[in-house]
Amino acid sequence: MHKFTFLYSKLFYGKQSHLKIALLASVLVGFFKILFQYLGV
Amino acid sequence: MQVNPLLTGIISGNLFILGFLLNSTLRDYKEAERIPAGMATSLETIFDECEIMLSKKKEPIVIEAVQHLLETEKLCTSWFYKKAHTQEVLMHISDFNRYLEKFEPLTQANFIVRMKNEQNNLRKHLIQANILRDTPFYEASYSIAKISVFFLLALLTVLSADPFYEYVLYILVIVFINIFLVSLIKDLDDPFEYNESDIADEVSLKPLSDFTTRSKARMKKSRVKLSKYHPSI
Repeated sequence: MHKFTFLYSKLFYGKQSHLKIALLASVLVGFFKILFQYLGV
Repeated sequence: MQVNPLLTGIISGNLFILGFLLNSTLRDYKEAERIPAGMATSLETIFDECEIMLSKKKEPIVIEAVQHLLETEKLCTSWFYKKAHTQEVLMHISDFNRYLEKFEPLTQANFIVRMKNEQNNLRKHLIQANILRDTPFYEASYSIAKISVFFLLALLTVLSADPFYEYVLYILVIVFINIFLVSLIKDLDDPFEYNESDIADEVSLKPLSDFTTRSKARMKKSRVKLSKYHPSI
């Protein structure tokens, strides 16, 4: 739990948090895109 | 689902809404940036008058007024960190009236008027900051932006892509820009959202802390000893 909150605060607060959030969203969309391609959706 | 010319329209429309929101929040942010500097200027102008009085004679009441000013700065900073109530700070600013009354035999009337004006400016800045902090920006337009970005992401994820990796690259760029803008708008909407872990995109409070450092140095130079603030009147 502590590790999760640490990661959460590192990601969503502090310097360049917008950049980190946008990069994470891009990676997630890319991951699902590749997953759907393999699943044939 | 195939790529449709309407998709371009959705992406441009989305960026238009986000651009409009960013422009409006940025205007508020620019206004908010001036507030701590304005507060520090008002405090320093009052301090200047006190210093002039102290150069003539080191009256204990004037030294206490300087301590009151330093305490006001401390309270304003606490208020920005949400550790002090607005009413408390406003009452503290109004408490300076007691000193103004005692200054009458020590200085000229126009100097007291100047201090009174700066006291009003300080109050005005605080109320302005309070309004900027408490008023959320166009809640409806912000919801529209969030919902449209969500739909766009869902659409881009299920969209068929051929050639695949080329399309994925374009989609990632679109997602990056959209999410970055939404996140930036959300942060700029509250320019006074201070907490210990996150002060990256907030308005700087350095003018206020600089005022305290400068005032203490000037008092030391004038050989005036400042003790802990205990109001006697």
